[in-house]
Amino acid sequence: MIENLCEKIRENVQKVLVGKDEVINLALVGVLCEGHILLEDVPGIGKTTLARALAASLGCTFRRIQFTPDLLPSDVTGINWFNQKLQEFEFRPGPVFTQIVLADEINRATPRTQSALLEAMQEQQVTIDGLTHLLPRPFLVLATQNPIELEGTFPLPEAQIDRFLLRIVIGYPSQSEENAILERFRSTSQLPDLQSVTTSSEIIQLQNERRNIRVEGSLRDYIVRIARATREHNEIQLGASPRATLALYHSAQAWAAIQGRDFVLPDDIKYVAPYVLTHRLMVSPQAQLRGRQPSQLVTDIVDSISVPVEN
Amino acid sequence: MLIRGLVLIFILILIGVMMKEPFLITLSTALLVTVGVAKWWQSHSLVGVNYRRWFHYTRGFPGEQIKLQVEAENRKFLPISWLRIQDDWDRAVGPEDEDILAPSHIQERGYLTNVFSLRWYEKARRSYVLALRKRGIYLIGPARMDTGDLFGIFEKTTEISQNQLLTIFPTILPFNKLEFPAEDPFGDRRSRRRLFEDPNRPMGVREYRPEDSFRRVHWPATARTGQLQVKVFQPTTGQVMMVCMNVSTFARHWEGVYPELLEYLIKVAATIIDEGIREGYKVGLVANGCLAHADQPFRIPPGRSQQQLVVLLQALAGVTSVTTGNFERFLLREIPRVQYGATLIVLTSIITPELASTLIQLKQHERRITLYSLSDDAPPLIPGIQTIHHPFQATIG
Repeated sequence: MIENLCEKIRENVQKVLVGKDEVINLALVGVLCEGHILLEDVPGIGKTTLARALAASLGCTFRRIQFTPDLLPSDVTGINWFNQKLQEFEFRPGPVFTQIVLADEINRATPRTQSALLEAMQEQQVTIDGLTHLLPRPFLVLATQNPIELEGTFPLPEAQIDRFLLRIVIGYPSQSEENAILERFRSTSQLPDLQSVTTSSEIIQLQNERRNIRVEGSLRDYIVRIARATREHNEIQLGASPRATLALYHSAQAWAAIQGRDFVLPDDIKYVAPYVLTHRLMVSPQAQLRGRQPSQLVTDIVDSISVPVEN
Repeated sequence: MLIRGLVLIFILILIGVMMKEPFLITLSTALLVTVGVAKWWQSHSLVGVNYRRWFHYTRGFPGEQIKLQVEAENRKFLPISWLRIQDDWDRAVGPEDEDILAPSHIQERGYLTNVFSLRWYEKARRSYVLALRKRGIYLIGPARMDTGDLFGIFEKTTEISQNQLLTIFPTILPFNKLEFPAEDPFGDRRSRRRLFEDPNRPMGVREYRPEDSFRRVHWPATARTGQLQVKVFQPTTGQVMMVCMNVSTFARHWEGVYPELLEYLIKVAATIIDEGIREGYKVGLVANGCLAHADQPFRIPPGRSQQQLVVLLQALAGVTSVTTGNFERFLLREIPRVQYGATLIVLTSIITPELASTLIQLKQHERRITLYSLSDDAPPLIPGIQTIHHPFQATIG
């Protein structure tokens, strides 16, 4: 069921986002794990289009927050305001009270405002003036940031970065894909309205089904060994957290489900590891100076750990 | 050659048929089949063959070592009896054992040659240790791939334009060797803190304090929170340091270049930059020298991230002694672009009266300047300019 529905969603999203099968599949991993996604790429690649198309296809409510340096935490979470007519405080929910949130250029807001999303991302709730408000389910944050260093940006703190399940780089389209974009949108710059192909309740059901994907004990051990290797590597200053280990486990389950399997293979873990781990690792300054990238380190670690095989 | 050979084989077959000589017919037919197979083998031998180089690091300092792994892969059923790959390689980043590089017709370059024999869907790897010998940015590649058939009749060659760059940064010296004053080496820092704010660069909001102007009140934020909130802007003056490097080693360009002095000058610049970033300065660099394959001097705006250190060291790794004009004019053109309040570190090995008057002119425009001289003669005392004289001859003596 997961495979078929994912196929339908992928086809629907591809009506507006040409090619990018892999990116859409990874976004679906995020949906199935109810994990948040950090889209890191240059402007004009289709980050917002992907978020909008995904929200429309899933039949979820969608809000976009443009992060700026003067954005306040209450602009994200909402406020209690005094209703003079009723002589009482009323809660006015912020844009985070939606199912899919696009946090555009998240690194432009101050760390204080970025932190406003922490509770929402981890616990799917918002606490204001001591009162906890639950967020609608499924809840997914798609955040974008430009990788090119600019003045006036605030790098995401490690605690925030760790809450993103995956980091995806969309990348430029290939020549044929770019031709197809021109062909498809030659008469209009507007994206067509997408119809939803599923419902929120179906998504929640899929998320529950994903939890039943079987992971052998040896594969669990393989995941743990990968995570521990990132902590012991001499070129890494900050390795993967236990949250990252869980993220790798869940993502591998989701990837296996998208491939139509009800069990995880080592290849699933190897495939999702770079997307799950790269953004969480902090390379030591000495290694960074010498040109080591977190993605290379993840690849090296994954290659160096022996894959469990059946005796 | 092939045509001639085929004609010869056909003549042999014809003679064999005419003479009714089965041995000759069999031999020439076998030869024909062999040539056919060899030709087919040759045409398919390089299909699905991949070659990759993998460097553990792509940047480093002189005296360090880098691990290199080369990998050849045959992604087809047809085996490759022999595959020779020749990589065009610079000796400054060559293997630890220099004899491994085969000689080239270009000075200071050589060929890293690897010969493989690959079965179907087989991968082979070789490892080397490269020694980083001399500052610079080095192009590795292209690679030439030669192969042939099993019988050694035909050969096929192709070039893989897989170019990679290896960077050797200049050596960073111990900072205390440069003889900067121990306290506030780059000038007084306290006076430059948050003097002015730039209203175009908001960085957040905070609660109102009595000394705040009402023009700074953030009304939407005030309405939302129920308390007066004011906007906070980024400061226009920060701890900014601009290193201005004169790559000329003689007063007149036709006198040539003193390579050891130039290298030392670059090492000093790298050391100052490294220390500046460690101290939390935003560091930039201008130099009147051109980068290799460029015809313009370069200018790197200030920044303080770890990535900025890489950018600056990379520029110093690639800088050459080629200049496009005199340093004094270059300074007058470049300095007005530098942020107000920045400390200028002028690094030179030649002191001329023109340079002194240029620095006085810049000082009159309220620039904070430190002159670091490597010349043999002590520079004149310029009022208001911190001067450090550290003759190059004394360092080698």
